Amino acid sequence: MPVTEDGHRDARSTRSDKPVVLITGARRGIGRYLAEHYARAGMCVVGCSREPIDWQLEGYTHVVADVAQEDDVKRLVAVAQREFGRLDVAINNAGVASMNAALLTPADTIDRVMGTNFRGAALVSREAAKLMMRRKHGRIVNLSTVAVPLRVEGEALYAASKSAVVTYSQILARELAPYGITVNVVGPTPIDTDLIRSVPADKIQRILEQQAIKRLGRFEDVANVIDFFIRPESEFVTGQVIYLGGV
Amino acid sequence: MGIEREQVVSLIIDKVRDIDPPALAERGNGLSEHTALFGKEGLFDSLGLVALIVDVEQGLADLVDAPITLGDDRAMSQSRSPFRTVGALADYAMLLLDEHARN
Repeated sequence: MPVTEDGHRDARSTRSDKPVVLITGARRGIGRYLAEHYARAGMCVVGCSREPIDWQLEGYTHVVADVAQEDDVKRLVAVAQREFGRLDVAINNAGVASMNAALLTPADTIDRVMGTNFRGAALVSREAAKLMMRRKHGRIVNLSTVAVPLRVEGEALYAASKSAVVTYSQILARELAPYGITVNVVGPTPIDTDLIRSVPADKIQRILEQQAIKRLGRFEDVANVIDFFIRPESEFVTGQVIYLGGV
Repeated sequence: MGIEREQVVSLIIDKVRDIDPPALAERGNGLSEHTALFGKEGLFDSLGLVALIVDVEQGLADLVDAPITLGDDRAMSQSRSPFRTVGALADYAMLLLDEHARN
């Protein structure tokens, strides 16, 4: 498998009729699961993360990129354009968490969390849409969190960054509708990933108690909602937010 | 070798023809650097103008092999929009290309 400055990439045809999916934060957790899910479904998957990956997957192209950096995002979307000539789906999964009292949150942490969670989603959505609009078709799915509607103490910054993602997505849905591009949001419950490793168990339990269905989420739960948003029959579904677990 | 203004004007006109807004045929298909893109006599509505800017950005990026962002804060804050005519857009693109070449 050739390895380039863009990261790992597998052998592929340069132009394909297969749908092309871009997934941010694909190195691990939900992002990696989604990469495997859509590659298994026969799609061409372009993923990114700030660090190189230590795994390989047929049908998967990895780009080392920081979604908070505009040049990185342009380079990321250019890979989809150059290698496949199209982009059908963009999934803004990359996210960082911050668990801290609002009064103790450093300014650098605000920049870091807003940078990845909101600025990153906005930049990737913008550049992805530019490519999608050429074919008058596209699906953008952004990830939020149940921490937004649940107003979880200690997650003010994280929830605010994801709340921004929700508002941005709902307005973007209106701006991009004329170009045949839908924009929707899925808000997962806590899932057993690195993102929540630092969250105390009692805090997680209190969140679960507020859900209608009181269990941790699974990667499959997230993929199921994204599958719905990106299917061709969902062309009339845009600007929607689906929170998991009955929140 | 630097990029000539005529080259940029041609690029913009090509992109307008690619999009082929309905108003173009209504006005006899003639295009020059004096053609209004936006506003009362313009060829495009706001949606069409966005599509044109995106296409021209891509065309410029292909020319210089680097991202060029036309819709930046400076463009949006100018009292006379750089998107009002083909020529005005070409002038603004040349300004950005010149800055790119110097950086």
